[in-house]
Amino acid sequence: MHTRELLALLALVVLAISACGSGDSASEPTPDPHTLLQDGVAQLQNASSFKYEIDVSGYPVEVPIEGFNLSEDAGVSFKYASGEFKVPDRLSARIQFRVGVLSTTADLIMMDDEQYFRGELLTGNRWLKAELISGFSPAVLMAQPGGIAHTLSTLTDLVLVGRRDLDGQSAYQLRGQVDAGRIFSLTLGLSRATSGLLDIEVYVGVRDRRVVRITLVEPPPEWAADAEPTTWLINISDYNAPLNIEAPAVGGSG
Amino acid sequence: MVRSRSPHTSWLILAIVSLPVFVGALDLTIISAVLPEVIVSLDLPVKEYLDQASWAVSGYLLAYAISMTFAGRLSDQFGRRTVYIICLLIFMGGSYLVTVYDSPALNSWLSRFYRDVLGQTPPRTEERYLYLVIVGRVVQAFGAGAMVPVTIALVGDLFSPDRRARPLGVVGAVDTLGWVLGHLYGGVMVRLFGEHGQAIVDAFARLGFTVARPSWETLFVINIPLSALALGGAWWVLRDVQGPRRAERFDVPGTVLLVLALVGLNVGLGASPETASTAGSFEELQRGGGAYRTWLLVGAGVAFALFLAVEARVRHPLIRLDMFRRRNVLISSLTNFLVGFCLAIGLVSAPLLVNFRMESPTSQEVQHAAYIAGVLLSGLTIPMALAAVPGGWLSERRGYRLPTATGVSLATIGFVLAGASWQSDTPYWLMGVQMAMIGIGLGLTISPVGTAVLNEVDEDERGIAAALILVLRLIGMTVAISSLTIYALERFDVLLADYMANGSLSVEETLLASQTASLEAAVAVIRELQFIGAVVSLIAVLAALLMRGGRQRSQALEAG
Repeated sequence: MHTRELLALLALVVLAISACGSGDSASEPTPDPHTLLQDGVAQLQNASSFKYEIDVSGYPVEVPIEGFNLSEDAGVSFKYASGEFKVPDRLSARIQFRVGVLSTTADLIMMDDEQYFRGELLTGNRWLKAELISGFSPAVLMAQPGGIAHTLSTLTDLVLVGRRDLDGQSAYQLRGQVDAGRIFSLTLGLSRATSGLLDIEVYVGVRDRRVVRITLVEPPPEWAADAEPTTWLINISDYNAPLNIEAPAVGGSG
Repeated sequence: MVRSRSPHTSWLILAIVSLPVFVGALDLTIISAVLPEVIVSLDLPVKEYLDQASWAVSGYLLAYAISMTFAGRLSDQFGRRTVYIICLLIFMGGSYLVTVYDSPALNSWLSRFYRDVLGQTPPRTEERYLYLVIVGRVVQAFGAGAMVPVTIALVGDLFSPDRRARPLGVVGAVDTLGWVLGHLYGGVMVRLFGEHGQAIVDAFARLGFTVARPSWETLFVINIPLSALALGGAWWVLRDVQGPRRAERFDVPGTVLLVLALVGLNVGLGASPETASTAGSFEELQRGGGAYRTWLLVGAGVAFALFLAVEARVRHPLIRLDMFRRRNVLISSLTNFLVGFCLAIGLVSAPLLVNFRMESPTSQEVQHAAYIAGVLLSGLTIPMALAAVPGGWLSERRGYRLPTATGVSLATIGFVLAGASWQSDTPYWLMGVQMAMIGIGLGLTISPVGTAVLNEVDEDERGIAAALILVLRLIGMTVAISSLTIYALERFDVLLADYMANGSLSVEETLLASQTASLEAAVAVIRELQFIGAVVSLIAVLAALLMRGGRQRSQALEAG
């Protein structure tokens, strides 16, 4: 290939890349962050169901499991959960715990105040009717006040950071602060912080104005002030999908 | 084409091009001892992801075997230097890819691929990391496997026919030494990094360099400067080495069909990553994977039938099928495939048992387990490599049948003893003795099986026949890993349910009983794997009894 042709090809590539990176609506007026959040909150409040994913990184989120025999240097902590929620009070989840440095999973089904769970290491895959997450009921996710949508509507210092590409999904990135006392529903009741303001980001889909991601930064406990903070990454998808969440047969593994 | 160059120069060239062959062979087994450490460091649950993570082992074996089948031919057509350098660059690229599994750009690309191409929700971050590690391993293996036949072909270019035996032996020894030592190297290094990682960081800091704390990724980072050194050396020393450029057409359809058949077979025998990632539970994985597996296995069968049809028709086939009409070639190929299957059982089950026996789930224990697994696996592979020598000696004096049948019989006994005795508290020395018995048994077959094939084919077929022997052993290993991983996971669930089916227990009793039951189920599955090894090696005994000749041939040669 000649130098001139090569340069022309390079110019084309540069043009193509700049076209991709310039955003698909440079002339679009900047939306108001409060309006964006209100749109997202409204869709969440009116949803009949959704799927969610919670991923925790940084300082571990400890989960006390009574009766589970472990060596002293191996605590149980929450790492990840994915599952479904059906209004008003049914929730299913596959939860990944760290036991020491090893990870294991547990299936959890919540029906109002009742919890059922099983896991290979925890229960030998038998369904037990007992509390895995102490004091948590799925009804709290949509509660007024205290639910996810209500908590998001109380954010302060809200600003629009810009548009972000979430692995192929275009979303507005909003940044603000939230009262730590209100994040119980966002973290399935597993967060440590109960007071003070926490940094929060909310991503609202450009096309459908739905809340697709929430990231929440929780400081480490006082006795480990130099440690990394805990970052909660919460993805929400499949709004209003038909879901069927039923109680399992206790004692069975199916 | 052999040019006039001094023997010293030829040996220097061979030494330089053999270094990456050694590193590539080291990586064949490096991950078998450290796989649990990899899964733990990626923050994934071991049980759920063991099947997918096992592709970091079997994907490498498969890609290594596949590239070995055709790279020699490619170097005949495009030149040794070009093909060797490209293979080395591929190996380096794969090694680099393994180390950048957490790159945001790569992860974003993978997510887009899932969302836009497959129309699926992208896997979670840690799962994407695992897939990128596997992709990196496969890329590595394509380069590493391809370098072996190209190096063997280089021996033909560098040495005259009467001087080729020793350098060919050296290439074989370098390759064997690599995979024999891989797991020990991996286990020792991971333990070293765990115990003295900070000291290594501090030592670099004193020299003015800031480096990250070494971990399992470092094992792949080390490949890059070593390969770069060899790349510079090979670029220089191979500049005037000209192999025989052949005008014959490369068998593209045969190669593609063989790749499709082997990949389909191995993916079909195990659950596919796609099925596993979308399954909400292990039961779903089983149900979904069942239909998917059937289609893949049918597809693999069709591809293999087409491969046979193509090979029978094309002028310059990848593999000359008429070789298999000769009894010893057919029987030896089958035996070596079964030997590979048994070897994989040994390589996989010992690290599993060691990891299940950990006293507490801490980083130190995981790293210590990797070290113990590495040492135990050396108890299998080092005796195996050493036993090749008496195997050859016996083969020359008593024919192919006796050492081969004796070897696989010894392996059968070793597997039966392991299956009967392995418990959660079996001493490591006893496990080591049984692993050594299996290793010696499998090692006794190496020479007679190889010689039986080489002595049966024509001189111009020996290169491809030699590669075929190794490839079949590697394919036996991949088939074992693919099929037995899913078997083991399924059996674990069944046995766990059995152990827990002891009437109604309270919540507290269930929580306590489940930990013991998990360990018992895992040990029972690992013991079952040993009995499967015994059955497969017994089939190999029957195959070995059908071998003919060897002794007479050597006597005839001596008389001649």
